[in-house]
Amino acid sequence: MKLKIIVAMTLIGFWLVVLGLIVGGVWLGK
Amino acid sequence: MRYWLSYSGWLVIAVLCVIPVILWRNALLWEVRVGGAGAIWLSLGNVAGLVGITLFAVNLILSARISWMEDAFGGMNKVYVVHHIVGGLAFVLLLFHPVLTAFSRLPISVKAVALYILPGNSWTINFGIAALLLMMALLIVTFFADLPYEIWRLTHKFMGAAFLIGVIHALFIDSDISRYLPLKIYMAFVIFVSLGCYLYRTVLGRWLVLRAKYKVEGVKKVGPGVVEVKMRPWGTVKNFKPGQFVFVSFRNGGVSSEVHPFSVASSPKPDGEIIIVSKVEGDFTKELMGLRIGATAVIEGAFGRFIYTNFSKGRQVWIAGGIGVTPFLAMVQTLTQHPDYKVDFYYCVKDESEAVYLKELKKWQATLGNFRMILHYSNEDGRISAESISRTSGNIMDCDIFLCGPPAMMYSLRQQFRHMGVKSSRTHSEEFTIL
Repeated sequence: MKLKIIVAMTLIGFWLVVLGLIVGGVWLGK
Repeated sequence: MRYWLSYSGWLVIAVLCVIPVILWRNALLWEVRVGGAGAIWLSLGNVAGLVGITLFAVNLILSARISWMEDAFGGMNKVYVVHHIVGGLAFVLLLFHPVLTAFSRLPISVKAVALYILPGNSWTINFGIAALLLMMALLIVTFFADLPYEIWRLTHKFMGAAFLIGVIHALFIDSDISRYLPLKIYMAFVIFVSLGCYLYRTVLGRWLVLRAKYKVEGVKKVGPGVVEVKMRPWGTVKNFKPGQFVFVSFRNGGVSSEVHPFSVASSPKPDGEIIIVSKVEGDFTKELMGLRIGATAVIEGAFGRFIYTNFSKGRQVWIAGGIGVTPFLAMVQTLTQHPDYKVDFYYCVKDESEAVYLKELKKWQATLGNFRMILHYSNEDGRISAESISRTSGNIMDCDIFLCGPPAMMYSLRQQFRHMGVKSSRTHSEEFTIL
């Protein structure tokens, strides 16, 4: 169960970072 | 079996993961590795990638179900628990790898980081992204989707494809692996072995894995939602020890040909007869009620280290919860050959209607001088506890304790025994939930 939570959190974190990079880096061009 | 030996597999995995990090460390001056924010991000990304791909490779080796792994982890069922944990860790590290590596460009700009992590002109990076996306899709299915077993199994088989794509990325991208020969050789070796295991089990398993064919000779309902299947070998007799389990799939039996693990509920017989018992819990077990006599059973195994004769003679405590009684049925039948063992057997069920094979167990209790059965009806007496067992059996500190039942019950009892002061090496459990 703990592993499932770790995997889920990492997945969410990964996509949030990727999304942040796309918005911040590509879209806003920072 | 020595207790430390059952943890040696973890040690091997740790060593396999540390070696590439040491080689990577030697590939370049440490000052360069940690010289500035960008270099530190890159180093962290490198280590996450190296350890992640090594763990992924280890996982393919673990999934090959090779018998020597049993001693290294304490039974094949434990190997699957390790496989689950290692797979999760590999996935987490491989998700961190591109993010950390891309962050090495943070001193340049956020845009540079974003462009690095997104698909672009570099085919090696694109392969890495493709491997990660495929792995992500497959692992979301593994961890979070509630698919029918056979479909789940099919999706899991594609994990080898994700690995292969990831390996092409790892070996061909301009990195320490491609530049530093010792690291390249080590990674290539680990990858080679793991792909060999994947081929052996998943791709060519039908031809390479040793299995025996049995004929289904009897299908009997032995309790509410509990079915007994009796089988005899067509040719080769499978050797097993009481307490072990086998993987079984049926052909021409009017049921799905899915492979499932079952504890053997009978003791070894000269004619090779094997009895398995199953409780209706899913689609497949429901189908088993209608299994045709004369069907072919394809059997692989036996596996498992839930073998009472591997442990100290004298007093032992066996605890069964519901259908967890099956391995004990095989074990009790051989107690007559092992008078040095004295067993207190706790059979925990909701009420008498759930207690399958009760008549047989009572008969064995009456015949065997070294077997005492204690029935525990949870509807009347509540959940069984380590304290109540200790009250009935006396000092259990030096006893080997065998547990088989619902995971929650086994977990709770193991915890209680530990708090009571029973060494972990003395409690042995049979988990099937991850299989």
